[in-house]
Amino acid sequence: MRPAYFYKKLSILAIIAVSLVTFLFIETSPVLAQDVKDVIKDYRSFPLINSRIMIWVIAQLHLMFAAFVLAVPMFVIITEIIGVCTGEEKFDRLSKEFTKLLPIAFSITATFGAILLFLLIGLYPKFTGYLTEIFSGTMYIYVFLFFGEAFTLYAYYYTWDWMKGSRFSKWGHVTIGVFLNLFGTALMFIANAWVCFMMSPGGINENTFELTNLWSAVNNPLWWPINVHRLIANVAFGGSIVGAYAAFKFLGAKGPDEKAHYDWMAYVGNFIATFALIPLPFAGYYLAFEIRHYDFSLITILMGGSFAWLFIIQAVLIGILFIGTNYYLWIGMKKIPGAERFKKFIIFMLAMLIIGIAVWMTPHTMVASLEEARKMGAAHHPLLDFFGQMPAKNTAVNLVILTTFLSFLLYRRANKVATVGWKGIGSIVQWLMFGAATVIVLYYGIISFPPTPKDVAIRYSIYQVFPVLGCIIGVLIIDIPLFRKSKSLGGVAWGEMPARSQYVLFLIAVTFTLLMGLMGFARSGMRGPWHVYGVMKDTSEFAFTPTLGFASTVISIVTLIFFGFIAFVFWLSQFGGTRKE
Amino acid sequence: MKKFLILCIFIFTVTGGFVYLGNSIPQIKQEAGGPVVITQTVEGLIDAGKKIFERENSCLTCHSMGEDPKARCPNMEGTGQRASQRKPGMSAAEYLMESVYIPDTFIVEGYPTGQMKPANRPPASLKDDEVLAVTSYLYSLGGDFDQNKIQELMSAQAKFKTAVPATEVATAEFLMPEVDTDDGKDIFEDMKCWQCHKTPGFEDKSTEKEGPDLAGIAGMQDAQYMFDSIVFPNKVILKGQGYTGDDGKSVMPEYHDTMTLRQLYNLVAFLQTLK
Repeated sequence: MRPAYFYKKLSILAIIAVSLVTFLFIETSPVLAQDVKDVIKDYRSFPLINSRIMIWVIAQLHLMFAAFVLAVPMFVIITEIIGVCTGEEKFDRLSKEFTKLLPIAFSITATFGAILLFLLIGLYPKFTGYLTEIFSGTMYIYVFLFFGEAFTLYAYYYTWDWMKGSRFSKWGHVTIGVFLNLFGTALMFIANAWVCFMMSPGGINENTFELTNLWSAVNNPLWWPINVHRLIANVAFGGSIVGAYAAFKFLGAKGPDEKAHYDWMAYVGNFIATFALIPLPFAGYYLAFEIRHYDFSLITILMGGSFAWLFIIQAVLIGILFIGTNYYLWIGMKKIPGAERFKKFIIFMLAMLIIGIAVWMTPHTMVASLEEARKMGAAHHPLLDFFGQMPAKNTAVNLVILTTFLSFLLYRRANKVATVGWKGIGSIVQWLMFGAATVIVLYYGIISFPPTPKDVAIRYSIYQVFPVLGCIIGVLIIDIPLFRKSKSLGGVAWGEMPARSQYVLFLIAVTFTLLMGLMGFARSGMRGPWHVYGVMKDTSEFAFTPTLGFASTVISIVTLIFFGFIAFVFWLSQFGGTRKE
Repeated sequence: MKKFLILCIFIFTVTGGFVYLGNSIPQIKQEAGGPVVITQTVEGLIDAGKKIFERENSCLTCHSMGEDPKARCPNMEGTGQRASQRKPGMSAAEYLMESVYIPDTFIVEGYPTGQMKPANRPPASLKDDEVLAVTSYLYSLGGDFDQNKIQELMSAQAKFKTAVPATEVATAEFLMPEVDTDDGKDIFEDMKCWQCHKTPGFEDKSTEKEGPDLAGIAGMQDAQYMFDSIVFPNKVILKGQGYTGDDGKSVMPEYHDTMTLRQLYNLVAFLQTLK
């Protein structure tokens, strides 16, 4: 059996299975709840590994593949549109190559979704029944959207060559791609509503917990913050996986042309990942801000309780992402004639990144013995006390983002010399923007320290964000016309990248995946022993929240399984094209 | 194949490093906070209360036991002694129960509001006997604790356990009847409000402007605020040169004897158009 035929069959079976299970469950659960509810257990156990870990692993795998299936079409539609607008065939080739990965990835996503649903019904019947009582209306829409995504995905892939004939039909193909993205995003939003309801329930009676308003249940307080955060994170994740795919192919490339193609592909993937990574901390901050607004206790547990150390690990991972991304750009500059002009800046940017990330990962409190505490003179180390506070961390992260943007900017103009008459003024304005943003970030960072009240300090942290975003947008608005008719110092020598640069791309992709798992654990764990916060308590034997050490082991195993499947997808995709391709 | 193996080893190394990092930080397992056995004796209540107070993600996440300037909530050491003096006219037992059930009613100086949720609601969701145990433990800190004090706590608990936090009490909505904004504008002109307030549409009637600028007032204040400011100008006094007289009161006259209710509503309606 040819692999393409095999995964097409697998996909169809998976779609039918998910739809059937969802439909049967929605249709039968109210009847079960009324007639035989005494027979239904609250919880059931899973052999060998416990039920909670089983749900954890499958849900995480489903989410990672769902993120992949949502993110790749976003990436593909952007590059396809660039290809149509510029007429450059390489963008179309790139888009199609990634679309080849989608059918099998979609099948795996659907299969994990079906397994997750079976497990939820089997292991947590009461909780799943309650969620169905609340959200059954949205589940019908979900099934419709699922079919919509399946149809548009297959249509998008199989009509690629057929619709390439004329410009008109090509735009028709782009339209299918846009609908694929819309269906995928809407699916994610619905699933987000279920997840967020567990954290910040809405639309229910306070005493009976029965549904009073479905829209309020969907549009619960954390729905939009999660939607925004996941949407941006998916783009970054998708870009990093594209980078990993290109690195995988680059390492096995047989000739310079193939190397050049995959080097360029890796650059495009990394470019998209970086651009989504830059606003991601702001989206995370918005989410944390809304959690705080919804229930202060939750943010206390998250940031000040036993999860506080999790954010140190998060800072380490994000530090790896930022340093990895910058390092990849700096290595890449070696293949660009003229880039040597900017080499002298790299050491300063590296220093800024290291200092910034060191501050970001500074714990506020250290586990110290009584004797150590006496030597320090307080429970807090005098240095950590200063750098471990949020004003220092907020300042550090904003400066790290600005540095990364500067790296990208230098990469972008590495082989270009501006020729427009206003190039001097343009450059000065750009540097002034960087300077002003840095000064504002430092100013608000310094005045946010105690005795400034926390509420005021939180407001100041928002004042730090806007100049950074303003600087990025403003500098780009100037940069594009500044280098439009620039003089070239030579072409980019695509393919001339050392092997270590490709391992950096893998490092970025693996780190993204670990980060997704870690933050999923934090988001879910902050509810404590609640299935639905304040509404339905977890009374199972697994209601406790495990240690971070245990969680990191589970997250790592899930990541390895995910990359195992991804390797399978990459391997299988090579059979999907024609011999000519 | 060799490169693929190197790649696998690389990925294993990265994930291994992550596991190492995760295991090298302090390991805290957060128990679900299952039921604590509570016996209704002095020792039983104190013991159970201490367990609840000290368990993970509970009271000690924010409160300290000993002076700690970085703590988000007050120091609990010696609470049993201080409780009776915190709030005038309130016994120690009542103060403790009020602090636990409706925490924002009284805030210790130097601490912000909104830090603590009622203990009988999520995330703590303590049952009545658990609240009694925690307050017994707190009452016992720094003072003698006996059966009589348990009775005091139980009486106070009966009073406060069904109390609704002030922030959740529904407030009456300020309703406006049918109004005539044009008439309101005429009233504004006739009563010469523009003499003291700089107002869009009345710029040409330039005189000394001593009162607050009314441009955009509707975007900043609601109808009730405007109503109050006209009838009771001293209720809220903005800081500004010339806004107050020597007695510290607003220089604006009170209008409760000079306007009809209809005029007042129409005037407020006009002010609400100043967006």
